[in-house]
Amino acid sequence: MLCPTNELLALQLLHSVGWVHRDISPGNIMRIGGSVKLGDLEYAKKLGSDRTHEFRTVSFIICLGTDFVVNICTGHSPLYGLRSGIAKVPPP
Amino acid sequence: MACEVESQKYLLHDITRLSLQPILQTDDSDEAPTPPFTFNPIHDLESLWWVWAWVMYFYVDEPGKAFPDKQAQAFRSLFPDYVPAARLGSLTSRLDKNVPPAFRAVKSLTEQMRQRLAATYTRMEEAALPPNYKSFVPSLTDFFIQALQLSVNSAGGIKLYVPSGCHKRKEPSREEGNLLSSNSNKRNRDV
Repeated sequence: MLCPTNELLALQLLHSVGWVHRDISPGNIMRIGGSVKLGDLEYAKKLGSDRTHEFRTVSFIICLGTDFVVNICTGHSPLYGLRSGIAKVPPP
Repeated sequence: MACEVESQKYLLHDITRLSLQPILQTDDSDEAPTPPFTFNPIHDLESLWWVWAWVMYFYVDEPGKAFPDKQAQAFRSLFPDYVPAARLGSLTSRLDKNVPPAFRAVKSLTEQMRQRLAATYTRMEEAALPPNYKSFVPSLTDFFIQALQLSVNSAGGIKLYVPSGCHKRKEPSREEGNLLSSNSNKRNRDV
């Protein structure tokens, strides 16, 4: 059975840097190997932002693997700049 | 998707009046205007809660098992063709007991999460609109993490099986005329 705490930890990381996902659904929570990936950040948005969509892509994922590092697969996004900050979050 | 996001308005700031409204037929002109709706992290947490509820009421605990009638009824009650008002009623009411026997301990924890989520919405929105979510998100997230960890521990080696005759990640068959795609709500996400 998929450990549901991992998807919550991925979401907690996103919230901790001031973003919301806005499209949590079964299809956007993926289990790949031992990792839980939160996908489809097309509707993710920085809290307080006036923009309707921060970016459009279907290839962004937040990956919670054993090293507990958020992995953003492709660049050229406002989220890309958050990578180093998220990576500092200690493992649970 | 969170009920408020589907409705694009705050729903739980005056839950008592909301529940009495069909009887009293209050005049909308007497209501104080509410600020424009904006998405906050509590809505993400609610969406995750709905995913867990979906898993619990959609799957069965034995391979090849048909979808039990009472469980199917509970599923349709929780997910009534994406009607926001009906789903809000589910969020503010106790979860139906008709889940597979192996899932009952997990259901009890999911019910506690529902109570905490609904209470958080109410306290947060009664205090201020737009809600000051920052002081509520950490405690609700921590509560969810603890409840889920307990769920995982109590679930042990439980496996999930798609009921025979159903398709994974599809809701049980229902009247075609009432069926809306969940993607039809994406047009509402511009706030």
